[in-house]
Amino acid sequence: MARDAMCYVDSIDEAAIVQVVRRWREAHPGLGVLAMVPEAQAAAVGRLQAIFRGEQVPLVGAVFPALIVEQKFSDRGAWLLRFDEAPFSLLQADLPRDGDLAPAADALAGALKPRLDGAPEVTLLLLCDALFPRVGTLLDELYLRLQDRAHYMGASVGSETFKPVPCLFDAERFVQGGLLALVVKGSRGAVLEHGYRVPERMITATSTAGNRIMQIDWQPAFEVYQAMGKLLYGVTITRENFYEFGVHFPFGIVRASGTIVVRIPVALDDDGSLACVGEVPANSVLALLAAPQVDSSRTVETLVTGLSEIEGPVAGKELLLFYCAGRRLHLGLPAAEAELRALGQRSQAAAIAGALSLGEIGSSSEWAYPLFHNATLVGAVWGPA
Amino acid sequence: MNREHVMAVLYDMAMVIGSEVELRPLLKRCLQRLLYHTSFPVGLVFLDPPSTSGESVEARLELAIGDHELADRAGSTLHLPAGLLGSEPAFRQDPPLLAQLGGTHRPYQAFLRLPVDGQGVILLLDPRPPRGEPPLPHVFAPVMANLARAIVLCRDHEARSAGLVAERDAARRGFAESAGTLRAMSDAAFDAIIACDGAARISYWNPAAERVFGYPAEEAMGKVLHELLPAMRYRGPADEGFRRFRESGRGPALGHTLELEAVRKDGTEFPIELSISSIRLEGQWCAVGILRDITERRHLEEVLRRSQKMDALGQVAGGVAHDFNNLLVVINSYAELAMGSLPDTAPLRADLEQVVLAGKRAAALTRQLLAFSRQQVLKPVVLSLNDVIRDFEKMLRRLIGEEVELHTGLAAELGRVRADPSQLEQVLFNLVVNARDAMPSGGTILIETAEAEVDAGRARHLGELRPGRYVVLSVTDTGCGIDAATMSRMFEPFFTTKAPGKGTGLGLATVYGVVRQSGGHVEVQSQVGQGTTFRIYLPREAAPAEPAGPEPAHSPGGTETILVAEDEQAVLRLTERVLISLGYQVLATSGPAEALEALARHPGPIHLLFTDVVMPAMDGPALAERVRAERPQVAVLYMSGYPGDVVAAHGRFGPGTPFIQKPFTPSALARKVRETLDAGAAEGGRVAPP
Repeated sequence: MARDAMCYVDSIDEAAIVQVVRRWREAHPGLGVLAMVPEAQAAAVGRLQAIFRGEQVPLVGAVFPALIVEQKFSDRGAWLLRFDEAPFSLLQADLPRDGDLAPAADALAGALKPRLDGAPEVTLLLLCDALFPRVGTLLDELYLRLQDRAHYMGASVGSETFKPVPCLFDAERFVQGGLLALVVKGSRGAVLEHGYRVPERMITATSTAGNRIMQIDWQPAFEVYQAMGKLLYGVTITRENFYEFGVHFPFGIVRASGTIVVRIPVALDDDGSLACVGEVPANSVLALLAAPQVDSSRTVETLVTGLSEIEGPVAGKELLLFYCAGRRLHLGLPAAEAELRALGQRSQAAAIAGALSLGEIGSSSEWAYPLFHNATLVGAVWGPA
Repeated sequence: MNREHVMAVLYDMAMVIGSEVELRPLLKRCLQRLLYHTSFPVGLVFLDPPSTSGESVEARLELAIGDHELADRAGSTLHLPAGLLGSEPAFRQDPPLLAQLGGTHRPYQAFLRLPVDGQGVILLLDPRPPRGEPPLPHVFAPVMANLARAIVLCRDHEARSAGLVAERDAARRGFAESAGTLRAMSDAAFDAIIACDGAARISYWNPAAERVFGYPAEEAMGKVLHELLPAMRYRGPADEGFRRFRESGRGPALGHTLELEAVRKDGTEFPIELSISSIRLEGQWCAVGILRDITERRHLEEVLRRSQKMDALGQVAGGVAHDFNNLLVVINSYAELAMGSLPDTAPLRADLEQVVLAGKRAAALTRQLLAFSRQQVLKPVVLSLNDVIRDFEKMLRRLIGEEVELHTGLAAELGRVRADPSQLEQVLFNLVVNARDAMPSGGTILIETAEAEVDAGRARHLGELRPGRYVVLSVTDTGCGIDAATMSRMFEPFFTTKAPGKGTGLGLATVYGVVRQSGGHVEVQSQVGQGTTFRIYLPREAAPAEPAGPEPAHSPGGTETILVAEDEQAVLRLTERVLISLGYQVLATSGPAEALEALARHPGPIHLLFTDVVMPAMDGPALAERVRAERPQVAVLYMSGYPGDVVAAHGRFGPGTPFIQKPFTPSALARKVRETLDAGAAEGGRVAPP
């Protein structure tokens, strides 16, 4: 039975939002709200904050490239997701882009750990500015410190153009370069799936810095990227068409488990280096992936099955979904929306509140090692199991 | 996984292992990468081979990721089922075995065991049944071997590092202690210690430098050293010297002790002694200067120099006075005798009176010379300085005239001093006269008394006093003041700033001599145009004041026989004549040998030996000894123009030895001879008069 914990408003209209909030507050006086706003509506965040300050309801939120509303992508309105009790949240601006991350991780973990201890099921929902290049390392460091006290899920947020913009907010602040961490009690985590397969041919990123690959096999990265594209897939990648091809030919970091972690190259510099969404460890052995002929039904099946294993049947429940923007680019809008429709049909969810993301945090099953991915879908049941 | 996939994973692991040099990061990163690659959510690292005990083993859990309960037990020894920690790589789905893991509430389903070649075991745990491609345990064997070696290397490295750190810490502690000791020494140093870099900028400034120059360290640091020197005299050469020093580490001032002037923060100049040495720090020449304020030393040198000059002048003045005294004894005595033999109406009498007056003035001058040279005979008594001033005040008021006001400020509880009261009056007189003369248009003279404690430092500064309690007489005027040139010479005899005929130049010399001979010190403070203060320090005396006895007025004579020994013929003849005129029998001899002969020839009694102290061949005390050897009852009276003689012969005279200072008057001689003869008779051991 739907909990009425998700509400889409097609505009950031005070009256409509106040009406929703007040309705929710009648049943849940201690409520808090997570807002997902498309980047086209980022200018309205201030108004949203003012409304929630006026209503004295705790607000946190993020700006995404687009929203997912009724199995379609939308750049209007906003999703409002209710917490029956306002969760503990931590909004940290300007995380260190280089240098030792341990002090920042210590500070975050130090603040979060007391909120996690003793909670029977809790998910750490992490929303991170996509321009913070070290999400993977930060995730490793948090997992090292917080261990299995929580399930981990999240997404990278911001502008699809990868321009630096404020993209994380609460009722008072609107920041960039940082992280919003939410302690979601009663949640048993998320399931992540991308559907890529490990190819035969490997290359080595011989020079990297954070999310930037300078050299592959000791040659300028873009030259090797071009050569591999030609050799493996017969495509001619140039500087001019790079932004079209990048999402179709991402890198894959190969894992011993037979799976890969996808890194979509999203920027090409004059020196031939390639910037990805997410870190590429130095000397990583990479695969140049051909974007899969996505079997949407298989992807959806895996996702729903995984969620069912965690939460039981998802039919009638409300789902939160992060859908990779690169995946939408690769598949194209019709196929991507078809995938969304397939998910809706397969899950029979009461509602799916989703957003287009610029990187995803999660794992393929409950209690698996959390990783930062590209090109995936991350789904979670919204609300207590 | 194909071969290339395996190689890719192994390559990644090998790169991680090779990039760490410390154990904890090595294990952490390896375990993180293993979890990443295998999708296992939990990893445990047990270091060192487990010890087996029956069905279980004991192993130290070094690191745990993914299970917070086990992570909390990191560092402790766990008891585990033996099947869990074998020496072979293994992947097993064995919930019952894993249920014996303990320390966690999580029911694990499967584990991947990766032995680390004798260095321990890595255990990866999964709470869910394995899905997808099962991991190949042996895939990781090569990197586990690498990890084992890396663990050994890291441990060695950390042990060496710990050793080095311990050495470094010990060295730092030693350095800190040494630096602390050096700093404490530097802080405690009496001398200023200043260090400069090659550009002469001050880089070290000890507390003594703060005291000497007046700049606190924070203000002095970074200042150019030359700013502490008088600009006109030194800064140019110092600039040039430092330029050479910066280039070569050499300079003309290095290795020498220099005396020069420096400038305090308040702008005053003062003399310093400076020695500079060079040190090389971080490839640059630096200079270290040790600097002493020698103001006090210069002052003491000046005090000593002046004292030595005054002593030398005193010796000369004393010698001259002695010779004059011999002449004046003759002149004055014969003049008095001649006057005594003339009737009152004799025309020659007026001439002789002038001779006598001139002689008395000359005698007064020689007395002042002797006073300056500290060779006059004082008659010290314990007295109150306040009483002397009160008795003398009326006379002083007459002396200074109406233009000058005289005030006194006498301390109510003033200690006594031992001094000759007439000489103190002389001192007061001279100082007041000088003060009056310094105020031709009028002014004020203030005479004060006080007590003062002179400590060792003050005594050293004054140069002429011992530490102790002193009575201080101050005479202050509001006159013209004394300039530095005059100040340096004003106690010299015959030095005067007064017009010819207005002063003898012996006033302050007399003050100096009397005060010094009384164990005191004269201090002068003066400012030109403002006035002058003379302070006389006299040692405080504990004994009560003594009343002064009356002087007898007549010239008593006698009939005793007196043996006179005097090598100065004029004095001998005069003495003989005076004594004969007083009724005595006189055996006049011109020296010891002649006296002893006379003694031998004279069969009758001899009552008194009257002898000069200093004579050729034999001095007076030796003669007296020889005479007493023959005739023990003979009384002895000494005469001398040198009180210094008395001091020199002090070991042979007892205190109270009869003595008369030349020049003496016939009446004074008469009284002293009679007094000596009577004293000898009173003792009963002397020859009775006929």
